[in-house]
Amino acid sequence: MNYNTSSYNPSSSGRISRLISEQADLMCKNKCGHYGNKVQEGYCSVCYKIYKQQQQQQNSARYGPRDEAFGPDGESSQGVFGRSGFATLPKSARLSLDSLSPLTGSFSKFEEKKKQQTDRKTKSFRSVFRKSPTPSSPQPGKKSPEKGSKEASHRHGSDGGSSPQMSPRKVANTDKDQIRDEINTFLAQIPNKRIVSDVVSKVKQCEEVILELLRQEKGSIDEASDIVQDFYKNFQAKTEIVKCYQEISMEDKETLMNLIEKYLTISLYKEFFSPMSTATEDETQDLELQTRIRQLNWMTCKHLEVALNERDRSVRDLVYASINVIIGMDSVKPPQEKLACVTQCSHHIIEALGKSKQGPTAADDFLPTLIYIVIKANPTRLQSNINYITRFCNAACLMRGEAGYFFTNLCCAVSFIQNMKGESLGMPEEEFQDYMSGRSVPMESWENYFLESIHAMEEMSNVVSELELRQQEFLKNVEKFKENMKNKEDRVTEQVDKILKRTPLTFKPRKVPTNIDEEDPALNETSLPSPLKPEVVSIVGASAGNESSVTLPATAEVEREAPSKATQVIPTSSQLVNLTGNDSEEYKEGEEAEVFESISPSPQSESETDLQQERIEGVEKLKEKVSRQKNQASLIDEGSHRQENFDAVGTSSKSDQRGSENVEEGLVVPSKPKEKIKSVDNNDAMESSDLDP
Amino acid sequence: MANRQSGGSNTAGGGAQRPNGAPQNKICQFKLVLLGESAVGKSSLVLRFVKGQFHEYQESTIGAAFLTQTVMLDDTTVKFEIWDTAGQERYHSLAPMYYRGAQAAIVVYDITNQETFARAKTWVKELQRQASPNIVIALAGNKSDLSAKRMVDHDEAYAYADENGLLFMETSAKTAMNVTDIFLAIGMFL
Repeated sequence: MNYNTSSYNPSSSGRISRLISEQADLMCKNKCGHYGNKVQEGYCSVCYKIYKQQQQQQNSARYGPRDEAFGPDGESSQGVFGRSGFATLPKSARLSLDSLSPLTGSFSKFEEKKKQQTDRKTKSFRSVFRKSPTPSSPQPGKKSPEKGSKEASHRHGSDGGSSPQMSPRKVANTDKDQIRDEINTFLAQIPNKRIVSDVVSKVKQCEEVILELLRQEKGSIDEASDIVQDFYKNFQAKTEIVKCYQEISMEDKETLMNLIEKYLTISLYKEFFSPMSTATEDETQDLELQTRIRQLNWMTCKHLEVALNERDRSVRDLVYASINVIIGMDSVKPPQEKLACVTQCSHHIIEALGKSKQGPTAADDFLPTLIYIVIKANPTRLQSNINYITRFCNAACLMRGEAGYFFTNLCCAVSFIQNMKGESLGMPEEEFQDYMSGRSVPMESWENYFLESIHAMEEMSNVVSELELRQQEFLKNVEKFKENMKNKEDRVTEQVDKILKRTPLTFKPRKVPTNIDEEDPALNETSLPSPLKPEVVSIVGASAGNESSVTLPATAEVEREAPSKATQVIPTSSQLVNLTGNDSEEYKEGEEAEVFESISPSPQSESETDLQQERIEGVEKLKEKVSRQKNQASLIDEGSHRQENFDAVGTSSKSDQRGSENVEEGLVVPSKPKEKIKSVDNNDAMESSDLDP
Repeated sequence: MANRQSGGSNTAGGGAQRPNGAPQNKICQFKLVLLGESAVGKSSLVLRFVKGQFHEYQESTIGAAFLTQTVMLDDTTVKFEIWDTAGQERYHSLAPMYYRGAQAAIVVYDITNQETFARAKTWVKELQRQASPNIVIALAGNKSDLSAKRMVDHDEAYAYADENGLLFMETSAKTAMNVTDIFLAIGMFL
């Protein structure tokens, strides 16, 4: 329990101390990278504080209640299948478990110790593998103090927080709980309780024997392996021979075997995987293999004649997938699951090979590719994993089946990597050694290195060209959109114009009531021609009478006179037209002169000329009459207009209102086109949104 | 590492020799290893036996490294587990890992190539020396459809096989000649 003595115990830290340079004497004992102080027992200030705390805890643990020293994990090792499974177990099974519990209780302390040792070991190795290549600058310890442990790590025995230690423990427990639940639910399905109790007791027995063996100093992992393998074999034979096992089907027997194997390996994982007794061996092998693979990082497909087409993206993805799976092998516990990882990795490789070349994938192609993948992946603790599987997986499974085949291939790959020589790659030994030592680098590896960048470049250029296409498309759409917008604008302005034309915004002048009695200043009475008088003398009296009635308004007079005059005058003019021989229809005011001109120059006799003269005079008169008539007609128009105005004045008040309403309406009118414009705009907006790429 | 692995398997003892091979069940499971120089048609031979097909340019999706085939022999079900091996010279030393625990081995050579026959002879020698003593070894001269280009004499090979107690047949994965026969003969022998 004494911290100091344990920290320099050569048996527990021999390997580690080998990695630590002697210069480290001045440094903190905790190897946190700071300098230590003699007053603080060789620790730096931070580590000393933690160390003191730890010592206190250890003291309290030593003198406190015994149970506490077992920690929370002590319970989990008490019953084979834990308390969570008790409810599902039949009475007989429970009895056997209860009777055995005191026995196993004594192991719990030992088990915990073992676990901590392994924890520390793997931790220390990981820290060595981390980027710090020199052992004189290790990572500061991150592990919590381990109470009740003889060999508390002096490397990691810092950091007062207990959470980092608790979490891996919890994980281990959940793993155990899971398999416990699994096996319990399976056993609950079996009707024959004798089988259940038999399985439970046998498994327990096996577990105990192994723990007992490992507790002895001399007990080696190979002996444990022998025991486990014998147990598998015997149990397998038992299920085939013993009567009560005949009741369950072959599949159930297989499942049972698998579950038992899983249970044993998970619950004893810490003892089985890279165990203490052979730790140096396994870990040295791991390290050697790692270094070897690192030395081989210059290897390319060409060296091994691997048929992978690394230019194909899907092939590359499969290669990465297989690398991931083989690396993930280290993180699963039961050997079957590790084997499943190997199988899955192999399937990825076969698929990748199938995509790279013609023909089926035979071992001729598969093995080199697997070697290549292992070199590229450099899986952690590969050798330990292989040893673990070989020792504790049911040997019958390793010798046959797909998993067995691929595992054999993996072993072959590792063996090949370890024994590789220049000769096996078809190159002079000297060259091979140069590459291995890093003195020179083969051209191919540079090619390979560049290949990666070329892949990246190709991918990027693909992306760029894709973007370019999209950009073009986008620009095209923009152009289209612009055109659409222009069209829309034209249409809108057209519509607006149309609407404005239809309903112009004009302010009508306010209507002013007119006084009809008032003289129109524009109408100059004197400039007007004298009223028409009938030419026929016989009715002079009448005309005089007419004339005498001056009191009548001028308009009324004209109105009355106009028809009579028309009846008199028009026939004469038509006569005249007939005389001149011109088309009556063509007779117009402006053309009159022409007509007469055309008549005048015609050579005639004197009598005729006289007659003509007379006619011309008549025509002149007629002309006069017509013009007068016209004036009168205009007068009449004016008169009627005035009449209207007068009417309007009669309803003055009403019309005023209406007038203002009209004005208002006139103002309102343009609002409708506005609405239309708005709706058009909306359409445009919708179209523009459609166009948006 | 190979030593370690074999150490692990030895713990299983003879149990691994004939797993599930209980005669009363009439189900026999055999591990069969294919040995031979690369490009002698090992995988074509197996694919012909297992899938009954041969393509000059075979589909790429098939993995021919590990295949199983079940055949009926009289009233016994024989399940063959066929392990392909890499034929390249550089992997020669790894072969013991494959044929460890195998009940049968087919050594394949190409009748149009004298070298492959020489290699086949070394395989046979190695098997007789290192594999389990009761392993059944069959010698298959493949590509018998190309007899025009024959380089290995049939009688010579037959005499060699007779001398060493091997099963011998000339096969053709292309025409399926003797392919099933050689597997059945092995099954019968076992």
